[in-house]
Amino acid sequence: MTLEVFVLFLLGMALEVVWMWKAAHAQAQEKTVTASVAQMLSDNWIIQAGLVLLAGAAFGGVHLLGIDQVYTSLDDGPVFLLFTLIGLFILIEGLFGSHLMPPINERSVLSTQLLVAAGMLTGAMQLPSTVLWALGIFMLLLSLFLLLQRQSLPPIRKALVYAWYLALLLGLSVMNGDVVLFSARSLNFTSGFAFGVVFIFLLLHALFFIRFFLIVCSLILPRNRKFIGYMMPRLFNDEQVQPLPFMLITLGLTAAVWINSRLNLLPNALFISLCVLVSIQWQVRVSKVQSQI
Amino acid sequence: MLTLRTIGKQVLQALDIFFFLASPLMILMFVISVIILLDYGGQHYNLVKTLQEQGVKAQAEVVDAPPTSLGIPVVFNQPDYGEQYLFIKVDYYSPGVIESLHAGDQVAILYLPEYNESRAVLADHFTDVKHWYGFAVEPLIMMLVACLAVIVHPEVLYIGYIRGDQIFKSEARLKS
Repeated sequence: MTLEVFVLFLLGMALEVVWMWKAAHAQAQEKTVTASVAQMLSDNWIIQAGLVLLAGAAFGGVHLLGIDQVYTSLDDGPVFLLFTLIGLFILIEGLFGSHLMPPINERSVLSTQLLVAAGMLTGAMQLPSTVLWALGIFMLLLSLFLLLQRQSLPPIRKALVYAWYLALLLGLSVMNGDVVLFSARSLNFTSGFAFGVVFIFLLLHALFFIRFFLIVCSLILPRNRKFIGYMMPRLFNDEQVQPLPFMLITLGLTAAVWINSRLNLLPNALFISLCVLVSIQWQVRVSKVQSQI
Repeated sequence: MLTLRTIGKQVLQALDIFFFLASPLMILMFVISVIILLDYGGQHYNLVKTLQEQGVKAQAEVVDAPPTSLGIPVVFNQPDYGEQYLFIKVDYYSPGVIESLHAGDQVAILYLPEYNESRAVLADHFTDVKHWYGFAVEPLIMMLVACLAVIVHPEVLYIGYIRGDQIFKSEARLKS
């Protein structure tokens, strides 16, 4: 990508970190709302505005220096250093941190599943037909189970559903072909920004998937099972999915994917990842049941 | 008898402490193994893809069998360069295929002249190369070892999500 698109890519990553932090601390913020609504809002807005201004200055700077059309590569020293730092941040936050994972609910799992299925059907993920059928049947059964079961799940089942949700996000990052997009020459401003947002979101979730996989494995020993009971309320809230709103979300998302593929606004896989990200973070905001922080 | 039991208990306690202290490193080892697995898998996938797209078929003569550490050396005449030596990696094939090769045998090979590769594969057994998952063995063993160590003491994985007293109080209760 060119240097000017790279600036927007970095802005997308930085803003997404702020948005994820906000989503993960939704209840903590609400607790302090009574104390000072304006202060909490302004803090986040100041950070976001600061990031946009910084990106604007960098954008103007590369234009003034006439290096806006220079292509960036991981072989360049500063870019490599920057990516090493970003990689370390993601590694530490994904493996040992707890501040950026937005809590989800059954609706988030279902909508993510739906979007990944849409990605597979539109050919963004090349898989053998038997694997596609097996995945399709599993997704259908899980959807029916979550839609028909009207009680909140016990912690271990929640953990398994959450692990499946993380695996879906890992599938999305494979579908995205991040490396290919990074070296794509024809990336426009919108795609560059969207790629930054999606890149950090998916990478953090992929790292967290490794951590969560180990957590799920550790449940083999009965003495470890008590921990999951403390952890899951932070990650998975008990809000039950309502069939009618879910149908509307399904129709809306399907229509959005279809319109994007018709108008060719963004690469299909990138658009699907963006939809997943927006729907997860939006659902945290509209969720009636707050996760326990 | 009592001393033996005490020693056994102390050894177990020492092992338990070792696993607890090593668990953060084991988590990192697991992540590194996953990265290695993805890297090896990517390399193998690229090799197969490149061989399919740009591989050149040639008739070569087996120089020496049984194989050396690099593989089975074969020699053939490459247009423009003359006689050239390449190695057939033995890991891809079943023992029967390797045993059937003898010095002086003529075999069909697939190689990559564009990439200056010293490796070649047997053209008649290309499906074995395609479906070879041997690259995954070492990383999977590392992942398994790391996973087993973390299963014994997974507390570090919960850092940030569970308060310290929730983890270690229950641990102390269990030990008592």
